[in-house]
Formats: sequence, structure tokens, C-alpha cells
Amino acid sequence: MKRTILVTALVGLLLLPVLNGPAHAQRHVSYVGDNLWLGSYSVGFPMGDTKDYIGQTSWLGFAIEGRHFTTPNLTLGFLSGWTTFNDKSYRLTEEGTMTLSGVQARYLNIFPLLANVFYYLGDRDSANFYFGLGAGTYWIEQRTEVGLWAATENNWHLGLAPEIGVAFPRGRTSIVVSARYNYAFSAGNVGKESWLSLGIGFQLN
Amino acid sequence: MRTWIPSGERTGMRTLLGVLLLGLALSLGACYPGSVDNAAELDLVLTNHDPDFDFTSIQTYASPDSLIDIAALLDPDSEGNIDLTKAQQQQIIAWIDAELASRGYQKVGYEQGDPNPPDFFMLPGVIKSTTVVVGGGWGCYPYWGWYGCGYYPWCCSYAYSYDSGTLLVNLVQPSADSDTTYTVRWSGALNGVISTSVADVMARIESGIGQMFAQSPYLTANQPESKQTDAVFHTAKRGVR
Repeated sequence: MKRTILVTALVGLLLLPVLNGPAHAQRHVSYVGDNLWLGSYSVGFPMGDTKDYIGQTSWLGFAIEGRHFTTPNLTLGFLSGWTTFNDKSYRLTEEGTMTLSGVQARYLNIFPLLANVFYYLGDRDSANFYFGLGAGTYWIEQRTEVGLWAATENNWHLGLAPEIGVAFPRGRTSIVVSARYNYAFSAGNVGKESWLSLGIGFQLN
Repeated sequence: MRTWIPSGERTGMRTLLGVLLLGLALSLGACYPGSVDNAAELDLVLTNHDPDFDFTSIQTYASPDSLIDIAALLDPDSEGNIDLTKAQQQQIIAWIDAELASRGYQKVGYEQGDPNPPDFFMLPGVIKSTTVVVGGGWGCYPYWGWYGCGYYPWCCSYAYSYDSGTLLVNLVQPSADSDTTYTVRWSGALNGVISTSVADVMARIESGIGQMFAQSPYLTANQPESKQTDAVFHTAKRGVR
């Protein structure tokens, strides 16, 4: 319940500037050199090995982005943010002749630091799609708590993040809906991680 | 190689957290949501056994009538640290005896020097320890970075302690070449935080003992097949509360 309220409040907060935007919004034309600032809330769906470790959907995620138009349709930018996956379940683990049972709480705290390039389709005065790719690094904390004990792995993972989205402009702001596939290569003692982020946010044009 | 530390000591993200907009993140909750809700969720059961030993080859066992105080055993000058009453200790041994009986093992009387010793001994022991956790600083979410640590000084450092206890159950056999050394064939350990409610502690110990045997289906004097069902039942019964 608390989570639902928080999520609702955050989405409302993100959308407030859009919903209260100027009634007589001016047309805004894409110019080379324009900057876009984007803040979004995201829901994360674990995939692959990540899903084996934590099967639960993440309801805690956000991202901030800056994008700079280098041509009328092409942006270069960056993305950062935070996503956390967590799961708690009773597990029985066998290792050789030993068997361990107890409640395990598992966490993944993920902080992406990505550079990205996007290509925008169509006119920015109407709903316009974009697609592109992010590349960079993910700082991932993998933490497993068992009983009174905990093991933590902190690593920087190289990663890729293809993304598609659509922006619905309203004046100098837009509502943006996006889907980003995150793939972090293995690092340290932690294997590859992957998850799908579905985001909604608002953008300052 | 992973290092396991007491879970109260949370390490981590201070460097990176500093460059992110935690104000937004913190409105959603802490970095470790959905952690344990009660002391029982901190209970841990570990069992180990000799894979080459045939547990159907033994039938009778003997055990002391009270728990072994491991702290006193390790340090003869120590007064020990068992908080359980004699009756509670005997109840714990009775639960272990019941599990062994359900596996076909028979408890017999034994006195030191008895010419007819049992096939094995069941040695139950306990040890208690106190863990002190001191932390805080950059990890003092949820208020860090939003109001500043100076404004909410109590969020910046914390210290607490908890008592944890471990119940050890060992099944041992006298070594063939010595009557003073023993070979451990099976070990079970229940580790958890000691809560203030004695009834709760005893209920968790009973549950933990059940789980020790549930996850050791090979531990039987008879047909292991029939005990597999019990193992599944015990494991399913505990679940996540």
C-alpha cells in the first residue's frame, strides 16, 4: 500500500508540470543545439540470470537524462539513475554435504552511468518516436542476507542499453514513455545482469 | 570469494550516492526494502554430514540430560552463558529425541565406562554471543542528502546490539582407536537472534530442530524413502512469514 501511494505520488509529481502547463502552448521546433532534460520513473522487469537471482518486478526506479541535438534528429546525451530489485523468500541451498535453509533477502541496487545516442523520427510538435543506444557502466551492488549474515558484491559493469520511446509534446514539455533493455556484462564475482525498464516521465525541451 | 558479515553492517554506495539525486530516490524508499519482519526470519539452519557413513548401520544412542554450554567448554574459567532453564533444556532434548525416534533410532541409558556403549552419541550444545553494530554517516538514509546530517544528527550514527544464539546438535561415534575422541557423522546448527519472548524462542527452536531433520533425509535407521515426505512437509510448513 505504501509503495502504491509513493509510486502514485511520484508519477503525479512528474506529470504536474505537464498537466499544469501553459494553456496556449507555443509550437516548438527542433533546433540543432537544443537540450532536452528528462526525469522518469521506471518499473524494472528482471530477465535472464537476474531473474534467476531475483524474480520480483522492481517498482523502485528513476532516471535522469540530458540530451543534446547535434543534428535536427540526432541527440547525444547521458543517463543516470537508480533501480533496486529485491526479493525475500525461504530457500534451501545445498553445497556439497552441507544444507542451508533460511529466509534470504536479496537486493540489487543499480546505478547506470550511460552515454547515449538517439535518433528522433518525425516532427517534435507531435508525438515523436525515438530509438537509440546507451553504453557505459552500471555500478551494481548485489547483496544477499541470510539469517544474521550478509554478503555484498560491489562492481562496475560495462553495459549496453538499447531504448525506444515516444514523446508527447505539450508546450515546452513532453510526456515520455520509454522501454529500455539494460544489459550489464559480468564483473568481479557477479555474472551478467539484464532487465527491462519501462519508464514514464516528463521532459523539458 | 565472498565475505559474509553481520547483516547489520551495511556497506556500500556512499561514493556514488553522492552524485545522484537521492532526494527523488529517497521518496520511494530505502535501498533495502522488504527486509526481515520478525526475529524468526533471521533463523538459519545448517546441516552437514559424513557422506561415506551409512546411517542405517546405527540404531542406539545416548545423550546428556542437559545442553552442553559451549562457552564454558571452550573456557573452563567461564561461567557459561546458557540462559535456558533446566526444564527448557530438557524440552529441547526431548524434541531432538522425538525426531531421532521418528527416524528409527532408539535412545538408551549409558554411564561412563559402560562395557556396552550405544552406537552413537547425540551431543546438544548452545552458545550465545552479543554483536554490537555501530554505523551511520553517509549511509544514514532516508534523510541523508535531503536535510543534511547536521540537521538530523540522530540519523547520522547509530549503535545497537543484539544477542544471537546457536544450538548445535552433533551425532558422534567413538573413534575405533580411542575412547576419548569422537568422529562427527552429522551436525545440525540453528542460529538466530534471541528475542525477549521465551515462548517465541522455544517455538523457533522447536521449528529449527524440525528443519534440521527435514533437510537430512539420509538420517534414518530404516527406509529413507518414507522420510523424504517428512522433509518436504517440514520445509513447506516453515515458509516465509
